[in-house]
Amino acid sequence: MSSTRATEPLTPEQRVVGGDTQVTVLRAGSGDPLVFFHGAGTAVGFDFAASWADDFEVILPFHPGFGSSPLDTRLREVRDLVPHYLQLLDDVCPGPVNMVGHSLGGWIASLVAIHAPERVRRLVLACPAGLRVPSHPTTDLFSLAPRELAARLTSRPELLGSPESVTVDSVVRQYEETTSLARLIWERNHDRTLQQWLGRISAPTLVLWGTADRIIPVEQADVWASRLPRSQVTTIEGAGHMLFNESAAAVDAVSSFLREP
Amino acid sequence: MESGSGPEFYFAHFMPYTGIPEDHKKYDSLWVDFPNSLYDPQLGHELYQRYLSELVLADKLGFDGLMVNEHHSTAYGMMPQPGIIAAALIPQTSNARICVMGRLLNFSYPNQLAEELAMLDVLSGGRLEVAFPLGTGMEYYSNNSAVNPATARERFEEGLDVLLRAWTEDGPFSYDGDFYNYRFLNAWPRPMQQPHPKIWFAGAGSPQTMDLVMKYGAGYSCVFIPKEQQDRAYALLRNKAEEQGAPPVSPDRLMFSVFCYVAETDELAEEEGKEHILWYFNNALRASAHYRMPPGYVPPAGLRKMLESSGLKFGTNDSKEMTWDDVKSWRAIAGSPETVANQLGEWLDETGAGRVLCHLHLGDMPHWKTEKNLTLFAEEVIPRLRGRVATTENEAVAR
Repeated sequence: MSSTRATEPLTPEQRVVGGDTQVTVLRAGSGDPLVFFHGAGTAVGFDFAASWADDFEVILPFHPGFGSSPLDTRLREVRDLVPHYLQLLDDVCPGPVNMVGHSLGGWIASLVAIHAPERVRRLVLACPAGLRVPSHPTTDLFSLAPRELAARLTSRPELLGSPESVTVDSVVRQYEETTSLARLIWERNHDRTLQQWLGRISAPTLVLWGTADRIIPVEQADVWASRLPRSQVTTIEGAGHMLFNESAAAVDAVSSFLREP
Repeated sequence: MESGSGPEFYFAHFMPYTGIPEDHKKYDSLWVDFPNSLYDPQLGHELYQRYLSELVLADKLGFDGLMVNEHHSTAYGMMPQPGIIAAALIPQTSNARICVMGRLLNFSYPNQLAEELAMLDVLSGGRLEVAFPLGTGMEYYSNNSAVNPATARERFEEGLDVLLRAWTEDGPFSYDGDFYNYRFLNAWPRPMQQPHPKIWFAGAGSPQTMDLVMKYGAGYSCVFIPKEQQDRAYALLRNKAEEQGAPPVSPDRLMFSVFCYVAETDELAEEEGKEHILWYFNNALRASAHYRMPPGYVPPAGLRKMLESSGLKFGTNDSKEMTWDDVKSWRAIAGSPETVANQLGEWLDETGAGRVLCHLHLGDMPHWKTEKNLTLFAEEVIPRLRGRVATTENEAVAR
């Protein structure tokens, strides 16, 4: 969708993390590792990540309860994913990695980078969730009617498929993913102390945002930047929250940033 | 309770707020986000007075129970704390059981609920019955988001354990759960009825709810679903008991709802009653689909079943207006005493249940019709049914 350079499809691999949590990891390419943490939904897919495989070894784990990773009911908050991902990184790619997190995945990536700054070579936070910004709050996904949610999610509604493409399976899968999300963030869609610890992140960080994001307002970018020690902000004109599905420029901005020495 | 006794009739009141504007359909929902600026406390006051008098009348007329229940942020009912209405009824009534059906366990601390309900039991001299529902999906939006719908059932089952242990075990003791921790669980007062007031669960046929019914020897009542589904649920529960070698589920542990209007003739009953019953189904229950189904509230397999049976319509807001034929399948009836008694007799046979939850005030039904309906039901319908299906002649006569 975002690129025509894709050379290799993402290939699923089953893994067990921390003794008994089963997950699916998509992988493609070779080179420096690029670990991508996805956002709160997986239905639209990750075709865009294939273009990164030209330069990097792309590692795209599904969070437990998302995509084809089964739910792990022991995980009750976003922080519970930190040891999960530190273990997965140890198993899959020891040593510093490039880390890219989108939305919920940005929240996770920032927590991993706070807890283990040495594991992150360069960091991209794409319209990340997790901060509490009272002046420009993150939209509460749970109280929106489905049609309102769809209207806010992307500036390119065709990405979400036509009404005819809806099936019983797709509705059930969507409900299951929203349930997995609720287990983590129903109580609040931010982490009250995240902002306090962003100074621990030592990696050069790109904060990437669409100017038309109606889920997490682009104004939050400056809050991140003011707390991250080595950050730069890039905005993509007119792009909504499904940043990488919507904008090839956003996908390329990641590659360019990560290629820098 | 005395199993094998004849059917009993509980009068159910939702205490709806009737002052909603004509154009209320410009709002998607009468729940959760229906603006409370539309609530007029003066009208609310008058309605409370009126509704309480209807419940008190039902006691005088000989109804076996009076049912009140809990909902939040809605014009559907004005009882966010039904215990308050129960407490108001206790000194004004003498025979009817006070049925708080139900109280939302997940949105209270279970020790406080144990105490509150024990208060009502002691105050009423042991007349309390109580149901514990999981709560509609809407309640998870209206109440503090610290209660996560995705873990609602786990929390509910733990809260129930706390409450029943607080009622039945000598305190103080400590409790170490995933949702509730107590250094000193020591509920004062304790209930008057021993081991505890009769408890009920409401369900739509889900096996989890039936497991709870079995575990606690509780009563089971179907929520508002078509009658064929209700009957399947009752049959499933009876079979479960048999499979598990548990005592048979006696009729006094099964309850079904009827939506009913009685008048002198069938024609008059239809003319006077139908519109209010239909108003209830087409307006009071109106809630946005996504509020009905917060994430995790239904298990995926249950959702799949609903979607397959509704042809993907489930969860959409384009519900059509219900007709009288539609609501009949939920056990609605308007007719003369004889017509109603005959129909109820059939339903008692179909369900095998011994408790009838009688919705005799619904929606915008005016006071005079409610009084008439209650009176004719008590004086002309109940006597026909006590005789007809009581298990022993003696009990029918004793009434």
